[in-house]
Parts: sequence; structure tokens; C-alpha cells
Amino acid sequence: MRTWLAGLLRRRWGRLAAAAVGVAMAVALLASLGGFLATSRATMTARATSSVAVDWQVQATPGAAPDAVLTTVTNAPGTTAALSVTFVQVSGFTATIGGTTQTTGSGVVLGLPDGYRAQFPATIRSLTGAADGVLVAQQTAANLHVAPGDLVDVLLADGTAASFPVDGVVELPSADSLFQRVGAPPQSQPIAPPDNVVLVPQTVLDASLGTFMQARPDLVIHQVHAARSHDLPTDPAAAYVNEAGQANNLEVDLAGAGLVGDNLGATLDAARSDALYAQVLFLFLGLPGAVLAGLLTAAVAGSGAVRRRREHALLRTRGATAARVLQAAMVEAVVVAVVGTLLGLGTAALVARLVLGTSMGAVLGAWPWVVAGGVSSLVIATATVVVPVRRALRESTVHDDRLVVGRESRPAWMRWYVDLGLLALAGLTFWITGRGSYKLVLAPEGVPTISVSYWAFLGPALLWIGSGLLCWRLVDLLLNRGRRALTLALTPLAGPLAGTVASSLGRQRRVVARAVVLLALAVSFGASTATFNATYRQQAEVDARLTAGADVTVTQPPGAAVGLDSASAITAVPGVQKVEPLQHRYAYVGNDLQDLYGVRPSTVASATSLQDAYFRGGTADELMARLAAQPDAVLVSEETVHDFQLVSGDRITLRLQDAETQQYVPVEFTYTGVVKEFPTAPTDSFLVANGAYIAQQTHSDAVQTYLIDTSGASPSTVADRLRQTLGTTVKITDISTARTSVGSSLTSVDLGGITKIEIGFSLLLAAAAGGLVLALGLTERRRTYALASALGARRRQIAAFIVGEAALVGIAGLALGGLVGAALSQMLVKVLTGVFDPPPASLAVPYASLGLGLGLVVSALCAAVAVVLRVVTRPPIAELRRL
Amino acid sequence: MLRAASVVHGRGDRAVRALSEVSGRVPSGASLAVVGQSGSGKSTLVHVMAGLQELTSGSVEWPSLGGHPRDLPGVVGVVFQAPSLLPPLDVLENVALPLLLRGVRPAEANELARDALELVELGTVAHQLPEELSGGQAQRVAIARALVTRPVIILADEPTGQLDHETAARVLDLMIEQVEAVGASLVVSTHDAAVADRFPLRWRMSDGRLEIEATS
Repeated sequence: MRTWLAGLLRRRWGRLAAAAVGVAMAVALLASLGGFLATSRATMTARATSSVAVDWQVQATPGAAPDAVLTTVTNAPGTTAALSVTFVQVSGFTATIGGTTQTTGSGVVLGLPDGYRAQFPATIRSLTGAADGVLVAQQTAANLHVAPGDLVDVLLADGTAASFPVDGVVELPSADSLFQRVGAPPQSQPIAPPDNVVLVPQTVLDASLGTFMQARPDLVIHQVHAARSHDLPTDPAAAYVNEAGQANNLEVDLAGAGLVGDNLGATLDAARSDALYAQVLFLFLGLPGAVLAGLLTAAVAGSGAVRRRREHALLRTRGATAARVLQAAMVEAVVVAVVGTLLGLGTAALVARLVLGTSMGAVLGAWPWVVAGGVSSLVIATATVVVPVRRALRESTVHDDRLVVGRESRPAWMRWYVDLGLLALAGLTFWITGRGSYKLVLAPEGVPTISVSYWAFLGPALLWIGSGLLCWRLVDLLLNRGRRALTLALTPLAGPLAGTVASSLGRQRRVVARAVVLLALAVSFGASTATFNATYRQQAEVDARLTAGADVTVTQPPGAAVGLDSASAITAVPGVQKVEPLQHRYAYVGNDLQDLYGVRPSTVASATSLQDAYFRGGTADELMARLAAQPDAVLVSEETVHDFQLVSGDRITLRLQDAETQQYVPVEFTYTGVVKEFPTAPTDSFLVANGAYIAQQTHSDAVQTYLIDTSGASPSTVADRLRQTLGTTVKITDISTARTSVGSSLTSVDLGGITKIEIGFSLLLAAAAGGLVLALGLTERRRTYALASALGARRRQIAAFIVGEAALVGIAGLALGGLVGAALSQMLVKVLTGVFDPPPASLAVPYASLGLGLGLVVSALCAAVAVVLRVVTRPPIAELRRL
Repeated sequence: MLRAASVVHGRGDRAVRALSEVSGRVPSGASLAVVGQSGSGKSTLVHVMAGLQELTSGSVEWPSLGGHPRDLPGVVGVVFQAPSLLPPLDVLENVALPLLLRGVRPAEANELARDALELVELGTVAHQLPEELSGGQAQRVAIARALVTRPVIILADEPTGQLDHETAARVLDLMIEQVEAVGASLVVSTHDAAVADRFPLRWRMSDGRLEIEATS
């Protein structure tokens, strides 16, 4: 056996190396994906935890001692810091600036202890003035027209007031969670944080409002804000379970003295479903690649099958037992598996370092994937080398082992139309998953268990397998029944030899079909992966644009009554191309208070992007035209249509605030269509109507938001210029900032690395499927070409055989692969709809990537032809002796 | 005509001289046997004469045919020792192939191929694959393929080397008969004395050298 192994390594190293490279590709892909998945999960957890301003907000229940709560929280395992914070409800604020007195409605005075900002830096962001002392929230400062140095009077419920000198103006980036109702379910949380907030040092608060707080404890809330250790499990799901358990433990320890607002747990709760989505996503996109690499290895190993059979037949004729022959095959399989695995792990480590910027540790950290890669390499090597030998030993004779071509019979799957059956099942699965009730990842809020609908894998898997088999059937049909047509097609290339070339291809249709199917599957894998990734990027951009509203968005503070004419100041800023005013009001739909957006229907699309997918009942252009033609038309959410059983043309009455009377007055609208998404709009129910009609009915043309198109100028530069021009009282956002902040933790994970891996592997697989399989298949037949050469065939005549086969494999593989890729892309995007927010209206086709792939495959085919031609045109006798 | 033809395989210490300055002339219409033991250079000599083996030095030409054998496809027919039919082509296609390589139209090539198969009494296996034939049948198809272009000379390298005695005799009879029928020259390499005895003209090879030219 040692002699056999030495002989294999010396004389058949090419065959072993080719098979080992195929195994290495499968292992490298699995290990790279595993490494990325492990890294991205850790990234998700890290990003989720770092985005939380205050990990725990523990609210002392009425009557409980705040100091005792502080002690319990401080002593809780994992707490790194805990500080007491006081919230005081006040009747309002007032300030007299330049002889004019401004008064606000109710608000909150927040008492912060020393060192709070240092401990929780993400809670408060300074805009102007000092970083410490009495700080006024941006919106409150705008309402009161105050700046650092001015005085603000706090109006208390008992009719008294306290004065505070303003030291600075700040923004509260996490106001929603800061002013949450601790312990209340999501649906009971306030719609928006308080408009008026003043932050004062705890000592100042105690000195100024101490008496009031003692007299009216019902208007005072004591909270303990805690920072927690972020040394959590890297998997968001495990981190969530860990974190939620700690929060529950604390509530037990508090024994009713406090409620835990677990901001960290809530963030991890969202991240864990994203992590599962990520896992599903990578499985969807990565597994076909690994399977393909396995099939490729099988093809590579299979291309040497004839010679291997002959070698084993020789062994048998020289007295080797069946067990000995099997042992010889197993030795070859083990060599292929071991070398392939090591090569694959090395490649994965290289990919991890070069593409993902991680270390070998990240690859080995994903050990289940590495083990899966190792096991699959052994399975692939055994299946492609040992199994055929074992079958041959059982079923064939030495004479059979000498067969090269053989009469090809139709395989059972072809006789039973398994391919068409699989495609029908894929269609059925697609239809089922396309229905509304389907949800790929189910992660009920607050429940530790999450689940994935693995049935979703079935559709694409069946489509892929069914398409592969159908491609095989079509090629078989062409080579078997369509020989006349093939002869005609080959005539320009092969002249009188066309029929002979067609016959040759027809008799080797199993080999040809295998090459075509592998190429088609590789092309479909590459095309669908590239299309999915492009669509994903497209939707991330749409998401960013929806959130930001436009290239740059200027938002007035609530209550600021700025008319349409203020747009001129914005238009004057260099880089601003188009400015569109957007009214933002609130309207009662029955008892439900919803956001109402007033637009200029004929021009709104000039400054922002309105996709047809945002609407139902017409395209974006059609619905905007309806709003323009019928001023009282309104677009409502699907939920509202459902709740109120609306039919297009129904008259609906909304209640809007009248600017003159400050009262909510009924305003008649006509239901015209459904709006699902709209720039700057929230994800829940909202309305879109004609701005002019709203202004007329409410006696106010006040604009809250300006959508700005910069037409190529850098949005962040234009945003900076606008900040300098408009000051700090308005909120200015730009799309480049939104790109980095929007979406879930799934979209926040940089998919660039994994995209490179997938596209890289798919290109490699397509090139290998096209070039390597063709080259190996042709090289195995070099005896045929050497014989033809010995019979007087010229180089161009031999080229006719080789180019004819390459052309058939290339054209059929690319065409069929393109079709399957298009179908697979549609199905992947449909099945993985949950990954997209919003769902795409159409697929983004990455023509550049596809063109590159096409070029690479064609180059690989040409290279294969060139190499084979070089090999087979050696002096024929030398070549025949070599074989 | 061979002039000091030499063939060396490999280089340096590992160089093997397969043919050593062989000179000789095959008379037009002659039947010649090249005899010698295994490894004596018989096959190399036949391959050189067919233009399939590059010479290290010296030259080979067929002056009466107009040049180097490599430039005379179809004029020189070759029969190999080992199975030499193209596996993916059926018997008829194998026989027709030399004609198609010379640009003969497919229909005509097929007709001539059928005739050639009839000559070797294998018209009934025209659509079988080479691997479905016995060794003797395969060699008769190879002879038909060598004859189909109506060559002026046929070079056969141990054409019966892998056949049993009885089959070998039949194949040899057939080959000699058909070559005589078309009026071609025939050169056969063999280590079998019985086969060699069938030829009036014999060349003996030993260690790559043409030692004896014998005539019976």
C-alpha cells in the first residue's frame, strides 16, 4: 500500500491535487462563512450594547426608599456604576427675552448627580454653552428663545416658580428611552418624549425644588441609572438570555421596591432576531456554494474515474483482492480529504485576514463550521473516489472496467421526471411562502425562544436541484435527439467533421451534461448571490433615504410656525438644488392620533425618492397626481384601511388642530390610496395629504421639515453649511449619517466582507466549473485526440472537437445558468423578504459583477481550450506512449 | 527512404537510443517485415516511417510519394498494435474519419467506409462502439480504416501482437490479401517468426540498429 501511495503521489499528483483543490474550496467557503458569522454575531452584540445610553433604568416604586434601591442596584452582579436621577413634573417653563415672554406647556426638570455625563456620555450632547450646570433641551430652548446666560423660570404645580440661569443648550439623543414609562408594555409607552426639559445638577434641584418635591411626591420619580458590564456572550441570543435573567434577578432582590427598565435587554432582544436572520441569510447564500464545490470535486475526481478503474482493474488482474483495491481507493480519498482540508483552512485564514480583517482565531472559533468542512471533505472524497470503486467491485467485471464510453441509459430520475416534480414542489413552496402569514424568523418580544421557519430553505433548494436536473435533461435531449441540429450548428466550425463531432459529443453526453450542469449551477449561484447582495444594498440605501427623508433634511422644532417662504434661506445655501416643504401635523383618526404629512404633490418627488413599493392603489406618480387633482384626497395606512373598512372614494373626517383657535376641528378628506412608507414618516400608521388643503383648513401653512436635494454635492458638506446658516435651533440630518445609523443590527453589520467572499467564491466556482471541468474532461480524452492526430488530423481539425465541446458547454451553461439564476434571485428575495426593510419593488441587477463573471467564465473556457490544445498537439506517438 | 535516422528519448545519463543511424529503402510495392525482439526498435522504426515519431537526427522521406510522410495523410495508412479506435465514435465513423479529415463529404465518406468494412467482413458491426468489439474485430476495423483512403503504403506496428494465434493468422491473411488487392506496399513489425515468414523481405532490428536485411 505504501508503494501504491508513493506511486499515486509521484505519477498521479495532478489528479490528487485537482480533487484536493475542489475539497479545499468547499472547506474554505464553509470555514470563511462560519468565521464571518461568528464575527458578525459578536459585532451585533457589541454594537447593540454600545448603542445603549443607559443600560438599566430602575424606578423606585412610590413609597420605596431611593437610597435602598441605589444600594441594591449597585450591589447587583455585573453593575459597574449606578447613579440616582430625579424626574420632577412641572407645569411649564417661562422666559422673558428682549421684552417678550414665552411660556411653554408642562415639562420635566431632571436632577442629575455629579459625574452623570461622564458615566453616561451618550445621554446628553452639548450644542452651545457650558457642558455642566443648568442645561436646557434644544427644543425647549427654541420654544423659550433662550440661550446660555438667560434665565428660565420653572412653573410648579403649587403655583410657585423657581429661576435657573441657563448654562448651556443640549440635545437628548436617547430621549425616548430616558423618558420611558418604566415597567409599562410597549403599547402603553408615551408617543413622544416631553417637549420641554431642563436638566439641573441634583444639588441645585434639591436646593431649589426640595420643598416642592417633599410636598408633592406624586410629581417626583426617582430612578437609578446603571451601567452594566458588557462582558456578555458574543451571540446576541445568549447575551439576551443572560441579560434578561440578571434584570429579573434584580427585580426579585428589590422585592417590589423598584421596576427595572432593561434598555440593554430590549436592544439585545432586537439584535438576536437579526442574528438569526444573518445566520439564515448566510446559510441561504453560502451552502449552495459549498454544495457546488462538492459537486465540482466529484466531477474532478470523476474525470479520472476511467483511468482509476483501469488501474484498479490492473491491480485485480495481478491478484489484488477486492479489499486491497478498496483499501487503495481509501488511501487516495484520505490523502485528498486531509490535503484539501488543510488547504481549505489555510485559504479561509487568508480570506479572514485579507477580506474580513480578522485572524485565524476567528476561523477556528467557528469550529462547528470547520468540523463541518472537515467532515464534508471526507464525505466528498469518499463519495467520489471510494464509492465508485466499491460499486465497480460489486457489480462490474474487469471488462466493464475497461469501458470508456459505454451505451448510456436514461437514469431513473429522468424516466420518472423527478426534475419537473422538484420544480413543481419549488413553485408550491414559493407560493406558500409568498402568502402573508409566512414569517421566516419568529422572535416574540420578551420571549427567550426564537425560531426559524426552515421550510423556507425548501423552495430555493428544490428550485436549485430541480433546475440542475432539468438542465441535464435538456442537454441530454439536445445531444441525443438533436444531433442533426447540433451538426448544422457545428458545421461552420468543423466543416465535414461536424457530424463526427456531434456524434462524439452525443456518445459522451453524460460528461458534457455534467460540465454544462456544473457551469449552469455555478453561474446561477453567482448570479443570484450578486443580485441578492445588490438588492440588499439598494434597499439599505432606500431605508436610509426613507429615514433621512432626502439628501439633507431640515426639521423645525415642534411648535415653530415657519411658513413656506423660509425655504428661500435654505435655497441660497451653496449645494442646495431643490427644496421641498413638508408639513408635519397630528390628526385624530377616530380616537387614534396619527402623523399627518402635507406635501406639494406635483413637486415633492423632485427632492426625495418616492418608490411605487411605498404605495398601494396606484404608482407613486399616479397617487401624487390624484392628490394634486383632488386637494382633499388622503393616503392612509393599510392598518387604517383595515380598521375602518375603507373603500377608495370614501369620505373620512379627521380632526386637525386649527392654528387660530388651537382647537381640534373636523376636516373632510377623501380616501384615495394606501401609503406604506414615506420619507421621514414613522413605521406605524400615518397619513399623507395635499399640503395646500391642510394649510387652508387649519389656517396655517407652517412647515416642519424641508427635504433638500443636493444633486451630486456632498450631503454632509451641504448639511454643515446649513448648520452654519440656520443655527442650532433646527435639526439637520443628512443621508450619509443616516446610512450608518439606520436599520437593524443586521444591516449595521458590514456585509461588504461576506459579499466579497461570496462573489469571489462564486466567480471561482464558475470559472472552475467552466474551465477546470472542461479541461479535465478533454484531457482525459487526449488519447482520442492523439489517435485522431496519428490518423492525419490537423491542429484545426482537433480544435474543432475541442472548441465544439467548449462552445456547447459555455453557451448552454451560461444561458441555462442565467435563467436559473434569475428565477433563484426572485425566490431568494421573496423568501428572505424579512431581511429587507422596505421590501424591494424590483431586483437590483449588478451588471458590472455579472459582466465580470461572464468575462471570467469565458476566459476560463478559452484557457481550458488553449491548454488542452497544447497538450493534445504534442507528437501523437509521444502522447499515446504517455497514456 | 531512411538516411541515418536516429531517435533518442530523454537526455544526459538517462538518454535511451531507440533508433541508431538506421538507413534503408523500402521498394515500391514491397511487403516487408521488420523483426526483432521486444525493445529492439521495431515500433519506433515503423512510427518514424509513418511520420508519427520525430527524428533526433537523420531523415525519412518517401521520394516516390512526394515527401515526408507527415505531409501525406491518407497516402500512408497506419495500423497500431494497441486498440486504436476512437472510443466515442462508432465503427463506421471510425473508418470514415481519415476520409473526413481529408475533406471528403460525409455521405461519400460513409459509403467508402461501408465498403472498407465489407472488405474486412465487418459490415454488420458498423454501428457498434469500439469497446463492444472483440480484439480481432477491433484490429480488422483498424485495417479497414487504414485501407479506406486507398493508401500507397500501409505501416502496421505489431498488428497481431495482442491476438491469439488463430485470430492473428486470420487478421494477417486479411491484411495481406487486401493490401495486395489495392496494390499497396506493406510494412509490418513483428517479433513473431511465423508472421515474419509470411513476408519475402525482412529487416532485423537489434538495439536500435538495422542489423540484417534478409530476403527469402
